[in-house]
Amino acid sequence: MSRAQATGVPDYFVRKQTLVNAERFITEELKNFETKVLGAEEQRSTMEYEIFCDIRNAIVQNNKAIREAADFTAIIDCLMSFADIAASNAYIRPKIWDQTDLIIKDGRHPVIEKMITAERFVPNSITMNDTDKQIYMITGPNMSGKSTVLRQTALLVIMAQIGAFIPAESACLPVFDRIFTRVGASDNLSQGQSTFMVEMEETANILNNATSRSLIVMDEIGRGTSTYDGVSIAWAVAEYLHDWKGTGVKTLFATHYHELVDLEKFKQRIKNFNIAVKQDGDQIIFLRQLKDGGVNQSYGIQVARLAGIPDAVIGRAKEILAQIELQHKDAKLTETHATEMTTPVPDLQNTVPPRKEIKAKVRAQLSLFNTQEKDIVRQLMSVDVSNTTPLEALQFLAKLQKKAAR
Amino acid sequence: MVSPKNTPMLDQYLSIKAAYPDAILFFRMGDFFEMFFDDAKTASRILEIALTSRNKKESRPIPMCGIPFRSVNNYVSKLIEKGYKVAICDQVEDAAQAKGLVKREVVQVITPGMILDHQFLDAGHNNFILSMVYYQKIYGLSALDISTGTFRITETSHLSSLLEEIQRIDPSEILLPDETETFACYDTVHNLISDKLITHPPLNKFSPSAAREILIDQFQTRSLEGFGCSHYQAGIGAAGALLSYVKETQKRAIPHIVKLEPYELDHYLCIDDTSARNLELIKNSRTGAKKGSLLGILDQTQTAMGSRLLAKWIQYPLLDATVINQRLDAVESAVSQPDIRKQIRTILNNVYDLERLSGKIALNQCAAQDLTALKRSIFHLPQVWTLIDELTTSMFANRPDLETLLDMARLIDRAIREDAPPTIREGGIINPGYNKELDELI
Repeated sequence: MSRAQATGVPDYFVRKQTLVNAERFITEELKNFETKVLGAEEQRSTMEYEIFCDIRNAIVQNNKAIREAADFTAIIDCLMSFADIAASNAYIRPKIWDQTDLIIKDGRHPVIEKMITAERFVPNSITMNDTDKQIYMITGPNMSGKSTVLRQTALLVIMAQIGAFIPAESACLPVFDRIFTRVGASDNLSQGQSTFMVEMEETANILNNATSRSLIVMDEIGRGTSTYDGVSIAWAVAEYLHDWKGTGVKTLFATHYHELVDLEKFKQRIKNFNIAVKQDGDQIIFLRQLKDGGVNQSYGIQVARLAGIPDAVIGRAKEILAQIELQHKDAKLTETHATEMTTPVPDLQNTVPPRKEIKAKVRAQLSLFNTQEKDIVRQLMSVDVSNTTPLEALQFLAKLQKKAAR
Repeated sequence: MVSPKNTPMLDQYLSIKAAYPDAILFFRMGDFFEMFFDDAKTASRILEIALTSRNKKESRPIPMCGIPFRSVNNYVSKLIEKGYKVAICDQVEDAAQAKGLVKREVVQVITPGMILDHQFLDAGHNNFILSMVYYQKIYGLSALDISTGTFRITETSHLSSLLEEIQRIDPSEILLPDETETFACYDTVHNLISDKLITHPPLNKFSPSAAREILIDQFQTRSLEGFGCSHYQAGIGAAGALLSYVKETQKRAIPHIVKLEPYELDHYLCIDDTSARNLELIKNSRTGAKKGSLLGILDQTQTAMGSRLLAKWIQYPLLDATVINQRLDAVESAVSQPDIRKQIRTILNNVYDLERLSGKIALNQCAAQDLTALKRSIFHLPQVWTLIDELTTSMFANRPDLETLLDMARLIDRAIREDAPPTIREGGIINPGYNKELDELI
């Protein structure tokens, strides 16, 4: 305000500053407004935080209701998920009945059928009852798909009992109380535990805890020890499960001990099955189909070739097999299955690295290999396969490979 | 370790550290959390940060390392992953107003079972702390996921069932009484889960009577009958010890734990751990990942709650044909009505993890966005509730009433700005028009 005007200001104007030819005034109201603006930001944050805390507390009061809604939403979500998968993968509703029979028509393995792309997944049917097909004695070479049939049956039972549709044409299932599996190599290998000990511990658990409403899956029991021990244990376990409390336990029993097919003759609820294999000259084709009856050939050597074992070794193995078979005929020790009894089949899946590696490293060295052939074959023959852990076998194989590469 | 003349700050540090000998102590100093002595050596190695020292001139310098307080979560989670406990010691008064030394206190202890940040949790898996006690020849077992509020309890008289159940729960942390030498079973459990963080609360925490008290206090009920577990003794002991451990560690109320869920092991199909691994139910056996397992195939769920429940269903298949058929009816109905199913699934896709959101909110670890996420999720639910009417099944007969939750969501909608910043103390989170006083503050 100019000096001239400043003389007539009302008395609530408080002089704040004097300039050369002007006076500055402030009023009480303006002063308050200034403080309000300056303090507002901080006050505002504090107040917003307080309001936020009030709302948060109101939410906390509703925790129970939130939880109930969450639980219910989760159930809807799961069931819609089951329905969606059922619709897009042609699953069917299993019939859960109070009979004891298990009937699966054209069952598939839910995971493997999604993973294989090169070939069509072959479905399999299984009918188990407590009168004449309680124990499935399934024989067939390694890699033929025994394990797949075993696992898929257990998986379908589990899926049905969680209320999901299952990959099959149709299925009637009882409610099982326990599922036991003794499958393949254990993953305790790297810890240096004996595979055989682990296998036997798992088997003991099954034999001690099974009930008449259980489902047991036994894959290659007795594999971890010598052939004679292995056959004897597998035989005794199968007998025990059949005779269990006079009624027996439903069991899928896969084995490459062909001696076990004889059990069918002595035990009324044991039935032989095999996974079909077509032999075309020296080649074998896996049909992956479960069929009635046992088989008496292991095709071990053919599988070895498929896995990429060098031709030199395959050839020599055939010679040895022929020799052993001949010896046993001479000694009149055997019937048809003797070859299997005396020729332990190495565990191919565990001792042989993937085919590509062998092809790359060993086959490239074939010319050198010939000069060392005798030595390597001699070393190969000196190994007691039945007393070798898969880990030792791998190490041995690595050593051989190194030698061959030299 | 202690030099003859300690600074007051160092004395303060040592007295706090003495109360947390088994945790790495994060000591707040201005904008940093500092670690000293052995904690500093361990932390610098794991966190890959520089190890320096305090009082370099003295004959025995103190090893030290530090991290900026703003990124504390990342560093804590790294230590937790390696199985360590971390105690967060903060300045509990304004440094500018403090006379002399700033007051400091441990405000939270974080362990592998106490992670609340979504970022460090697997959405499809519960993160359980397990508690176990052997009492009058019964094994009591309890598991709590603090991030979701899931609190389960069971008992068994068989050691083998106990061990199988522990493997099935697959906890990230475990509590056993401190007097483990009294029974051999503690050793067995210890060996089974030796790679996990094990804490030993005193045995009296596991006593059923003391445990009952603390549980009743938490749930504000007169007894535990309403939860169907008043017949338990050992189980209650395990649950009570677990709850008091969590409360002591969190140093605050945990209001989102509102119920106890008892279950009987023999009500479910028993699949031992070996078989579960053989059959690749939850993980494939080659890489341990979910892909290539039964869960990997079956889990097409849209929400995190659904994903966790599905894993639980696979681990606990039913024995009761009636209940199995109830689920199958619902699935059949949804299979036959693809349009309804697709609509439900599309809506569910927008529903956030309600359990973990409510956990974060209850434990005061939330920002405004969490409230907005909760609000949006709840607004989607009425549509789902309506759509399931189209499905012919008894499964959805008892649906929870949504009115209270909708009121709550409307409140959040009125109050909280959708574009709120991640901090809750710097304003910008409340809508204009919600509060008159606030609006007047320009």
